[in-house]
Amino acid sequence: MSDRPRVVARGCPDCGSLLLATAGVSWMTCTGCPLALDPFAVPAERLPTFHPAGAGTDVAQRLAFYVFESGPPESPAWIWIPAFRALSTSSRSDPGAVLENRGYRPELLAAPLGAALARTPAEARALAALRSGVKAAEADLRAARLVSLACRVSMGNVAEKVSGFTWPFGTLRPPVT
Amino acid sequence: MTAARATALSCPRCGGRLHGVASSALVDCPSCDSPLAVLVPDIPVHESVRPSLDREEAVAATRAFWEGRKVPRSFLAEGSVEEPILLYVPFHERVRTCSLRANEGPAFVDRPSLAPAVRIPGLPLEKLDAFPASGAAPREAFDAAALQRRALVFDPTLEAPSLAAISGAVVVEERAGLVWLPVWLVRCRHARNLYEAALDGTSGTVLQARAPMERTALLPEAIFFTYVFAFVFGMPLSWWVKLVAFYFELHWFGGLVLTVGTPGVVFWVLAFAWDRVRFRYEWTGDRLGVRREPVNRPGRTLPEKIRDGFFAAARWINGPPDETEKKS
Repeated sequence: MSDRPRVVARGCPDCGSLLLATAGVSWMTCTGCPLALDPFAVPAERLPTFHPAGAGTDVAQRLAFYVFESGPPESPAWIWIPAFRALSTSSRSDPGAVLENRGYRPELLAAPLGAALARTPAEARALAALRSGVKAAEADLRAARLVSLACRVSMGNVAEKVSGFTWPFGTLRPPVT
Repeated sequence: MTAARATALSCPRCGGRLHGVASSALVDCPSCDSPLAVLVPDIPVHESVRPSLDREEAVAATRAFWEGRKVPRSFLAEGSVEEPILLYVPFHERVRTCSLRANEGPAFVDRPSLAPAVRIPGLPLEKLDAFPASGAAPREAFDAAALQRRALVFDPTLEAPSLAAISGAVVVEERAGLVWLPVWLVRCRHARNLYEAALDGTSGTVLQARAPMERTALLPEAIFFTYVFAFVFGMPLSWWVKLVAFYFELHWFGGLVLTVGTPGVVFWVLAFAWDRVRFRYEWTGDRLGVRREPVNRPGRTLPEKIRDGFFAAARWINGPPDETEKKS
């Protein structure tokens, strides 16, 4: 990508819905269809987005995760990398690690993500490789996709239900409101 | 700081010019209202945080802060409060993703840092809890012209502080930005003096505030010292004689010293008490608490100079402190 300033319309090329975005991060998510894309890239790169099946699609607040697969294709392990930033939380104890350790592998349903991204897939891939303990180039990471989990904002905290993780309100980027 | 590039940006839908966009931002086209995303590589993202408090709430938060304190009733009353001023103050924001190598295995962590990018006399920006404030409300693209219509907007004048290396960590990725946080200045005139309170515009937390002190706040101390004064000078002479006799029973030389020293100490205590009561005081407060501060008080008053003189004399008599005393 060239380093000159670029301007794009925040409209989905497929359905025309608004794209959720974080300033300075080139990847955006569609509010109308199960798609994340980088509209600054030519051609635009894409990733599918999902919700856990049966979790409901009307939840207002969501936290997004990149999910990679590694290991043998017949029984791959899922690596959950937060697509948001939880400031000052070590990845050893972040909800991604908790979901990974629990072997959380829900049935996924293609759905709009409902959250903006604070990391690009390339950054997430590098962090997934780091978590796996190998170099990014050597990592065998497949099936990159985005999965969002419902969260609840109450009493000055943001709580993610599946991992049971809670952060003080205001320590997440982009902010959950 | 990296200078913004002078590049004309335009809407891809209608071709309208995007004025005032100098960094990566999410904006609406001023001509056709289309939502747009601007990506300016290598320039820190400029964003502002919308205040959660409006003017009335800022004044109410200031009133709530002083509630229960001994401040005059007319302070912060209707009519004495000036129109609150909204300030937008810039902070350098950096989030570093660091990889940590430890016995438990590799991990990464997002380390944030926020530092004031401007110094404003009388406004302690370091007391602003910038992390919650910067994440408390949705961010907007920084548009100085739009903000200046309703607020005082400060330019960043300080360089971003260099961040200390984290031991055992490697910085994988770093994002730098400038975020303008809202601060309310609530001003109140009382007895020809101007009192200010600076509040975090997102939470209403008081960063620094001053208020006049109710005169009756010093009444208990004044009454106590008056009674001590009356007791000392109203003591019958026979009591003093008994006290001196008691001193001399203890030790003849010590008795002599105590006989001379006691009136001196009593006078010094009374002078010190008078020294505390005679100044006008104000309240100064922040989120840690409220303190009493004298107005126009010299650095050291006469009783304090006398006290310090005694201590200096004692040190001179004792001789210079040895190394162990210095260390302790």
